[in-house]
Amino acid sequence: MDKMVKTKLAILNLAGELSPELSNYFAQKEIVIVDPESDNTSHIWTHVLTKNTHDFTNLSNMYDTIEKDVKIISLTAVEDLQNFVVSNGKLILDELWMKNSLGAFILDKFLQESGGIALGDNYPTFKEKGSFIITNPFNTGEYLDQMVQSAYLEGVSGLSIKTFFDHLVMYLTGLKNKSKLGMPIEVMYGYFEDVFGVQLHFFTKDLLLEDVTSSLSSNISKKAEEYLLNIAVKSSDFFDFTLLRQVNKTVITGLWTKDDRIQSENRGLLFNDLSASASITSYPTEGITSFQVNAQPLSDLSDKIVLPPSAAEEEFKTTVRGSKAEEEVINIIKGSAKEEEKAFKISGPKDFDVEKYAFRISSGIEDKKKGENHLKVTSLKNELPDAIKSSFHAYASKLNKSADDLSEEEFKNFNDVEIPQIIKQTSHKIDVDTPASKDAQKAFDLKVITLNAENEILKSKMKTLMSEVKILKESKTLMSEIQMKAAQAAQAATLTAISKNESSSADKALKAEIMEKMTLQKSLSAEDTKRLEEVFQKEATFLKESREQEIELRKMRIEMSQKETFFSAEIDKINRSLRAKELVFKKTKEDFSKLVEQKVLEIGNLNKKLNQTSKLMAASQSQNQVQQIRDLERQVMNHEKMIEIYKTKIIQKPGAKTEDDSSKDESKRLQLINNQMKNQLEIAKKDLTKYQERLALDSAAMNVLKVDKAKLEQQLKKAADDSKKEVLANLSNQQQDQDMKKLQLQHDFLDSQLKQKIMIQKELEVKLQDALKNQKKDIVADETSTKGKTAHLENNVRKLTQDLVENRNQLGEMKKETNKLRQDKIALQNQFDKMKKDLDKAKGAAPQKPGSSGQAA
Amino acid sequence: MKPTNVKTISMPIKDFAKKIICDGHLYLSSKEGRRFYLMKPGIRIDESFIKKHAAAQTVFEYSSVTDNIVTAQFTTLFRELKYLQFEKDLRLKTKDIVDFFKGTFEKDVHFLSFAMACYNEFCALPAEDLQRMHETDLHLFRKSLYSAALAVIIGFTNDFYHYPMIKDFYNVTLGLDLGLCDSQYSYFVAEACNRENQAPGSGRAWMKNEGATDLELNVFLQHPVIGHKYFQDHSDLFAYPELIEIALYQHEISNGNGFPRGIPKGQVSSWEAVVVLADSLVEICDEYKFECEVINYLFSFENQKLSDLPVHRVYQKLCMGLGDIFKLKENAG
Repeated sequence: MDKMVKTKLAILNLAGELSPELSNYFAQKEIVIVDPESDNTSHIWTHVLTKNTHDFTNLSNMYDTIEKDVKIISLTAVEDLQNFVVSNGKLILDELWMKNSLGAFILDKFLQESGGIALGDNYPTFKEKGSFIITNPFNTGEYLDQMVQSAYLEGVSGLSIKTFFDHLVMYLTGLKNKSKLGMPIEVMYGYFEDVFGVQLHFFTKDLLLEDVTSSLSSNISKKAEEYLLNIAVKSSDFFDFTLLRQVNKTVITGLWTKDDRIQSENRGLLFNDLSASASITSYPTEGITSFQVNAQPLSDLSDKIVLPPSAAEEEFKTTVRGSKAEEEVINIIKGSAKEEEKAFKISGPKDFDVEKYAFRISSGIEDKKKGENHLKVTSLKNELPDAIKSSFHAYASKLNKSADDLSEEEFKNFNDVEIPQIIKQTSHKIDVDTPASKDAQKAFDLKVITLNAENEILKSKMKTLMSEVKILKESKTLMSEIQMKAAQAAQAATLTAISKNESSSADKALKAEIMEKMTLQKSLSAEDTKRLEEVFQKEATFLKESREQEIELRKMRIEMSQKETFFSAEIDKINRSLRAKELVFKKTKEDFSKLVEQKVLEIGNLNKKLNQTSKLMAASQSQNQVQQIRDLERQVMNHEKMIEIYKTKIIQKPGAKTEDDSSKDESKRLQLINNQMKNQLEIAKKDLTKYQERLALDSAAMNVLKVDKAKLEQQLKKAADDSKKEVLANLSNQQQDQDMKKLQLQHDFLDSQLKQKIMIQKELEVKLQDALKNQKKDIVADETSTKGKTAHLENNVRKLTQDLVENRNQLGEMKKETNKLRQDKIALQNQFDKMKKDLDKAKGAAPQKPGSSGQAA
Repeated sequence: MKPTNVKTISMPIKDFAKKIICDGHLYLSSKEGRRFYLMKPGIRIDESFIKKHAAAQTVFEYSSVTDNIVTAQFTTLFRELKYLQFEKDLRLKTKDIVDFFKGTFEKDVHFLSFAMACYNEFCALPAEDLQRMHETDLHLFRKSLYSAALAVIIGFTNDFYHYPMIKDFYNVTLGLDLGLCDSQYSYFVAEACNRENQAPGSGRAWMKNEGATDLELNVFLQHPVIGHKYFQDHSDLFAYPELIEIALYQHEISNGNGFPRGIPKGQVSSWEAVVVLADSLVEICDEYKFECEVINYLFSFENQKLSDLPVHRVYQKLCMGLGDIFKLKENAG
């Protein structure tokens, strides 16, 4: 929450005086905020702050909000959302939100332009209650039911969430049809303090502002598509629409708060368009849910749907005694307050908040939209909260207890006796107050409000800290609570039965008496009628109470069964984990025992070696041998030590913590060896590729040689033909000689090249074998524990061996080729010799040239 | 891996030619009685191999590793899922598949049985592209085959029940490494991908240190983009073409220093994480130890490694779906 805003912001304040909380926020973040009425300095505005503005077109024209991307923030509700968004309106945030712990987060998120796709990335420490994936927007029933149930269980109006979700999903379907949205849609929901959040994210492509504004119409028409988004926005307490441009995704979040101060007119809205450079705030999200694993049975929550009361019901409710103010207060606490979550909460010792309690009594509940109209009361005087708070603390201290420790009975007593007195006294005091003291009172009130706000912030911080502790404690207390509730329920049931019996017998007697009177006198006295009315009233209240008790009992039963399944599942999980732990332990134990066995074997071998060497030493003791023996002895010692270490490790295994360091060292060492071997392998591989390249070159050379050979053969043939022709045509011998010499030279050259290639091949073989030997040596020398890690290397070696075999095959083929060439060469040589002989013969047979010194005829 | 099933049978080439993927260990005996190991399970069988041996009428020795009954059971379950409509039915069927998977692979059943069922059921990529992958590196196809099968089970455990979506996950994962099929593909590229899996963010530095060429480095750094382009050209194969975008997330890491775009954890959705996790669980190598102990393998990942990838949540849900051992691991510290 205390992060600094990165970019320098300049906000033009057209909203006038700001609330102390908001002013403090801007001051803390060092944001320039200029009120044009008191300050004439000009800046490049990044935001404009407005209040009670409803026509944003003028504002947009005046400050070029769209061209210059000046974002409009409205501190009050906006009549025409379409107009607001079109004019670059980005945030609607009532100052009341700043009293809530979430207000600062929302402003941080908006001003820092941060966001992500997980609930925790957008809002702090949300505890995930569920998540699901939508692939077919018309197939979401079960998911929605689960989510709505979860909301009701958290004390949030599930009906609002249902409306929000239905309309939003249909709006998204519309976007999909425009090819602007891609499935799937991932939904997450959870809560943070007293805020319930639902978040959806999905692919979006080329989403324009018009796509959003076209569904924001405030007019309800026949075409639902025009106002789908508007309904979704208005169903939530805070609506956040964030575009993540870099990844083509959009995130929509709806928030619902249990804070009574946030009413429908204080609803918030945020439109954010985040560029690639957007920073990401990541808060941890508690818990991960899987719909497959966590899907809970759905229970009937029909009693949560309370319609506004009819006129007749209203009339019935105002028959409470006392002054008007007293009636209202008593009505909240004694009467239908049980129907309302908060009032129910403050009536118990758990989660009791004097602040909220006093606030509630003094200001009343006016939220018609929540369907709890019968709780509506007019606001009482400002003095009341403090008076109630102080007298409540006084009442608690009188009983030598803290406010949290008061029992139900004591609390009821306070409500019945003390509250009416406080109201009377306070009303009287207000009547007596002079106008002069009113100003002072106002200042005091302001102070109180500021202090209250600070107090709220501190409380929220405290709550965040305490929530962690609570979660830990909760699991322990859950079981005991269930047991308590069960006992209470049983007790209540018996008490009701007893009282029912008692009252019913009295009432029966009265009824019989009246019946008798009716038959005798045929009319009833006023007193009897009153008594009769009382009886009927009693019966009605009794019926109502019994119905409530029945509902409560049912609830408790459901809760009990849920808790039971939850705990049994938890126990199963623990058992499973225990079994798995045992398995792991057994396995490691076996591993270590195997290791020890191997070491023992090694020692046995070493001992044998030692004996052999000692025998040798006895025969001829040279200094080198002595040294060798010493080395061997050292090795044996080392191995023995190792065995001892392993043994102690096995013994220490249940503790399982101390050996970590040594095993880490061991693994580091193994990794080093592994790396060394890998490096060696890589070098060998490189060599191999080099040799393969050389081989390729060689084969190319061989091809050249083959071509040469073919040429040579052709030449030879040609030469043979020529020689034949020469024999026949008596051509000159000198040319033939030269050809012969050429052929001879070519043969020699071929020979030398072949020898070279063979040499290279032999070298290559030797190098490869050496490399393999080295690797094998290393592998063999390594400890048995490295087996797992060196297996991979062995495979590589095997791979190399395969390559070597291939190379060998290639070499073999090349050798065969060489042999062939040799044979060809020999054949050619033979041919050549033959031809030479033929030539000689031809020479001998040819007639001598004139002038030559030939034989005598 | 050494063949676990020692029972070998004689298999003439005409029978072997019916297979697309080798589902066992293939040997060839010489006249002298020596036995040569020819092919591992999971390797794609190419035409040239078949032609070569068809001409010689070779009879191989063959030991199958897959369990045909298990493969058939998975196929039946997939088919059943395909024709379901309502989310509750889909959820329950998915649960059945996950439970069957868990029950099957807690025994010593070879993972290829499941991989084969997935391949037969979901594969929609053109055979020539898969052949290209196989020709680039024998092990690249095998790695993709296993990763894609894991994507199916990760998808199911992460609340993705819709058959067409699972099919898309499968095909994206299977073709994820098509971007690597380049003439410059080498040992360096494969090893860099593995390094990236072992220690996210280390692949590029490793390649530079080892003196890989710029072309090789380019293949490594650009393969997600090339893969994405390939999918864009084949978008008609997907029921949800927007899922193609997942290819760009293959090497993104939590701190935003991944490539090609440097997207941080906070902007990676679960559907992207499903594929990224499946891809990172299998490396490009010639031997996989997890084949016969896949459940243990899936539970054995270190949290640290996975926290470097934007897949932590998806991994946790996978473990939850497969029996909650993850919680045990965390509790045990």
